Amino acid sequence: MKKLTTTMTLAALGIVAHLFASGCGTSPDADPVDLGSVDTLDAEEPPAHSSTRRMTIDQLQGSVPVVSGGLDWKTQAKKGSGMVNSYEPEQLGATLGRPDYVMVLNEPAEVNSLYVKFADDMARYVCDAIVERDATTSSADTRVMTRFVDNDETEDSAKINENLRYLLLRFLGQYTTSEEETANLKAVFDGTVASTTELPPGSTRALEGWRNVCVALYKTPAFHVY
Amino acid sequence: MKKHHITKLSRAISTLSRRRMLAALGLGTGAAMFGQALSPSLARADFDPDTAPILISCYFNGGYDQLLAFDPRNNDNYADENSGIYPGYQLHADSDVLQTLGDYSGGIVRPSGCQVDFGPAARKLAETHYDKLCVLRGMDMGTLTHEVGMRYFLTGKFPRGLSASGSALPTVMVDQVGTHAPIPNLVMGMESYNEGLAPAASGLRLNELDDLASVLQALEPELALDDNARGLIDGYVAGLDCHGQRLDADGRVSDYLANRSKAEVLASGELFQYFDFFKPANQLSTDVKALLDYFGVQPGNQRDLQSAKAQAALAAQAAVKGVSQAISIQLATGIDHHDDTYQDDHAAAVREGLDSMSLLISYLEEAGVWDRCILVAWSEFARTPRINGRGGRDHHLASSCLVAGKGIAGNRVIGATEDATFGTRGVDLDTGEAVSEGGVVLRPPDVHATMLKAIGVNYEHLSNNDPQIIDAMLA
Repeated sequence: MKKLTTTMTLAALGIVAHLFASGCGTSPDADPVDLGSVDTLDAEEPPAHSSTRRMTIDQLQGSVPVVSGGLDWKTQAKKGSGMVNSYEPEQLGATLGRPDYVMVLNEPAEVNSLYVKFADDMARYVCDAIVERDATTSSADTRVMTRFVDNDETEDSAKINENLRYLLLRFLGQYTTSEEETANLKAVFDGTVASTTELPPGSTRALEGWRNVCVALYKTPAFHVY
Repeated sequence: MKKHHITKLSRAISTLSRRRMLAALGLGTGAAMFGQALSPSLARADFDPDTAPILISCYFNGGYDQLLAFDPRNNDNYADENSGIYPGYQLHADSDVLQTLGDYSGGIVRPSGCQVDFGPAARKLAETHYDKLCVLRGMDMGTLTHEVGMRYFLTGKFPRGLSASGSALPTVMVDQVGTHAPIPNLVMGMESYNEGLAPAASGLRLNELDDLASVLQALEPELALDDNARGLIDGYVAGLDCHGQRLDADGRVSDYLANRSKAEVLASGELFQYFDFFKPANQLSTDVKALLDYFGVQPGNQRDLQSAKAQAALAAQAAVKGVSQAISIQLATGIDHHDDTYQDDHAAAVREGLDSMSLLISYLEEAGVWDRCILVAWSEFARTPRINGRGGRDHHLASSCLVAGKGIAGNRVIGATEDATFGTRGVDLDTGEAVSEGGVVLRPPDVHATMLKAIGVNYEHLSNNDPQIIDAMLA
């Protein structure tokens, strides 16, 4: 037990140093904060970490419209005409590995290039639909991408950062008050606004910025891994 | 009950992986070595991407009749339908099989120089390529359940209940050879498993050929991002903030990011040019037109595009163009013929599959790729040696498979089935001959292990199945 404690102490020192170096932790000089105690069953030690997993296709299908305000990912029907739900087995569901419980009973939860490719397709389709709807929605309360800014706001950094913090919470469940954590996302917005020259009908440079922010948030692994 | 005191320190521990923990302690190299030592891919061979082996797995979905293919009996000598084995070749509606029955005595195909008897459905394959083919007979599939037999041969490990055990053979091969190609492990219409191997080795599973259209090009191309937008977004996605770093506790976020470049290759459409089989004939590229002509696939003909010929064409293209290192195709589907549809459809389906395989080998030879390839043709089990009361054949344990290519002895037969019952027989692994005593009954793990040995890949993942190397199968 003493050996384990020593190892854990060394490991902990290394962890703190590592997190500190990456800007994701507290200073190694800071005193540990007592958070109380909990009862555990018979485990010798708490687990090193909880394992992460990729969303299943069911979870993806459920999550996308929650974030998008009800908009689904649709693709051209393979049989028949019109746009239909992409997750159906005869569309992309089977290719994505969704089990049919006849021949395929288990869903692969690995991250592979096919999943990433289709996630990118999904992001572009859904974000286009979100921004198109936001462009014609006058009430900010029902807009998805521009809840705390006007559809043509490109200058007011405070409002834009507030909107970015809201979007991080909406898409990734990531609560932050720090502008540092929205800086990378703001770079996507600012870069798009600065470089946009041609606008689709009804759009604004700001909305083009928010479209790319939306795509970035749907494409980031943090959306798909939990 | 034990009490554990929680501090920020222990909470920080809970977010870190073993790899990162060791890295934080300056033991990154040690961690990598430790990881390798634990990996089933120990002693991974050093393969040159330009010469690395290519595995082609040809599945006959539903259980094929081995009397028609790799384990025939003379139709004249086994003419009594009440005897233990009844080939009944004359019952089949397929004109090619009937023609072979007329051309070859008793329907046994054995071209000059060939030392192996083939059934009438394997005529073209035998006549064209007998010198490359190694037939394994009397393999015990251990089950009469489709899913179990299929998963058994797929992984070389007997399933746990219905669930597959271990990784599929193509996944094992790709994991050990290294993922060089854009789609290392292409799987058409069948299952694929990865148990603990590199995620990049996992099979990319497609249901149908036209699924390639959605996989190998961006959907909704009018929504494509311009270069500037793509650069901005990729910059955000690749830059892990603290939230992303915490999620990467066991490397899954890193895996996600590692797959991005391959996903971009898929979405770029560059690979789809090789597989754009669905255009009208006058719009096909010269390359694709020549390929489809070779395999006898008529452009625009939906039946042809869903046939074994098209599957073989796909495999040929994926191997020759360097798109994939392992290609799994189905050369027959729906052949589980328990009733008189057996007589109408079975022989034609198996023959078309084997004919397509023959074309595939020829194409790979002409393209100069065959010497890198190892090919296996298999099914989940065989069919009974007697016709049942409904005019069909039921499931039978003693099956056969065919292996050919890199490191495999050609013009060879390994093992046999009983002449009275079509049951399994023991085999002398050195000579390949069936023996009365002391022989080994062949099993899928033996075939897997020997195939992997033939291409220079280790097979230690099968060690808990006590695999027997079939020396007679090796060149």
